[in-house]
Amino acid sequence: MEKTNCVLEVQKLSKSFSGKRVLDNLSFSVHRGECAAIVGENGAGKSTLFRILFSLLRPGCGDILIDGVSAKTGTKRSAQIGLFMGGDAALYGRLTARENITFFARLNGVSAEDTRRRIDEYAALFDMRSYLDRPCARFSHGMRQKSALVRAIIHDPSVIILDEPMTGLDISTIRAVKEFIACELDKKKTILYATHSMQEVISVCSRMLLLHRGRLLGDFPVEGIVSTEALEETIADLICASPSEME
Amino acid sequence: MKIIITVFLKEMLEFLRDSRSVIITLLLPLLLFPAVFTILGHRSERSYVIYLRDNDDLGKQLSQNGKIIVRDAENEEAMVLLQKGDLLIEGNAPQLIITVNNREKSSIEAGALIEKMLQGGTVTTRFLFEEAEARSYLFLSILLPVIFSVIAVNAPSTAAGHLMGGEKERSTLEALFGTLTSRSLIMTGKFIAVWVIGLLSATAYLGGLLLAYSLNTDISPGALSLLTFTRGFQLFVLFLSLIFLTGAIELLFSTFASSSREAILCILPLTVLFLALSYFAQELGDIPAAARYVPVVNFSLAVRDVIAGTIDIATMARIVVLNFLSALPFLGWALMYARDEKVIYR
Repeated sequence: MEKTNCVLEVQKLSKSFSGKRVLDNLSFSVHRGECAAIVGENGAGKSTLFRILFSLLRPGCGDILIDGVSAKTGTKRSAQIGLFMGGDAALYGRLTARENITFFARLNGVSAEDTRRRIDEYAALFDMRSYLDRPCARFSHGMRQKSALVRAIIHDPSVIILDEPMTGLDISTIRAVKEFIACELDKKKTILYATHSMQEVISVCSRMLLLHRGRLLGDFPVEGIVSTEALEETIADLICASPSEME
Repeated sequence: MKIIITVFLKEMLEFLRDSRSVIITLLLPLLLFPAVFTILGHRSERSYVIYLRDNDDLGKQLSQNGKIIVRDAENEEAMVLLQKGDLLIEGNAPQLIITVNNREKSSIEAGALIEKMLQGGTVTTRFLFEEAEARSYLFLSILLPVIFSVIAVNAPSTAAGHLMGGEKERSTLEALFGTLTSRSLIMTGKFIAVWVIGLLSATAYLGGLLLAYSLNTDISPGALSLLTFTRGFQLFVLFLSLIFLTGAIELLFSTFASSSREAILCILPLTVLFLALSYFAQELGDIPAAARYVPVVNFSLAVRDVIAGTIDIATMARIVVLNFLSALPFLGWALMYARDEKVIYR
């Protein structure tokens, strides 16, 4: 991986809520065409990090650079980033999946023609054609997940954040999501992938960032690792050795 | 502008597909007044208190009618008697004089009943008040300003509650505010939707009121003829401006609320406040000049003046401009709060 090919750079990022530090001096960078897993226990700060990256929360300290452009310029980063929060795939229930996706595409400045084309492409990939024009209120969990995923990436962002994208999905959909990730990586997109499943980390990601209590505890490649037990053991060792645990 | 229209159309589409919201916002208002008037119509089967001055024979005759209670007028004045009862009859056949309090529906009904009973005799009917003044006072000048003020609060409330509180409830606000579009544009689109839905709902209320009047002409005879095109247009313009204000206040509440239910609960006290302000504006008589700059008070007084046909363009313009201007701080506050991260993660 070329180090000069850096797309996303997080520099000394901190964030507190009501005096409680949720992210603490976090620094890392992710490169073009890389899929980095963000792993950590509940409350480690993953969602907060994603929300800051997506401009929903303001950083307390530090900076984020996307393609070398600092967040401090005040521009929204949504053009370059697509955020999919899998556990909470919220859609407008009275609109159809197509209307939901089209609405967000328009707000993200995608032309009508591109929207139609991309919806058709993704509908084919995720096997959504049968329910694309049905109101989302009656969708199953998997249908909602897939619709929300397409909504998050319809504007073709260069960085895609996937927060537990495979939770509750059936085998064929999981395969489709993996196919989608591989396809996006081929297009030199950057993916941040949050999960609790070591199996997913091994099968999808090339690198793992371990977050613990808002700090970056580890950053190592996972290519070549085949055993989930080995990975879990490494994570447990790192957490036990972390200063916050020893305190 | 394209974005505002996109947000507006999405909100309208969602609203129109939500049968519960459509029923609450459009259908119920349309049916409310016909239902109330029907109930009032049944209640009009009441008895009437009639004061007689020195006419025992007529008293005996009238007492045979189960709906009439006859009382002796003694030496009290007509004005005093008609505050306690419905009708005063003086003189002897064939020259009877009936005094009607034409500000009171029951008095008018009692007068009609007596005239019907005494067919053949010479009956002279005298009204306590000038006819035109009494009619507008009776049907429209007290009731409608208060009702209209409440409508102005209620009409946009469901939409306002759902448009921001509902987004939070469904967790869609995060995705919406994460888009490239500025939050100000999204909020503007939402506000226009609240305003338009509020106006549609207010129109449904007014349509229901007209329907009620046309189905129950005995409740408010002549009221429909008072609602001319000019008066209807003036009322619509007043609604347009007041709903702009109430929509802005309610959108602000909804922006702060964490769910649509919480937003609508916050809006409820506003209904009570508007009702009270409007009622006191009518009841207090001499309103201090400064109070006329309070949006609901001026709306309430203006509705009365519209019905009486005494409003002038300058007053209308002042009220409309004042209502629009009063909305701006609330809109500004809502837009400002929408930029805060607390709007999603309170």
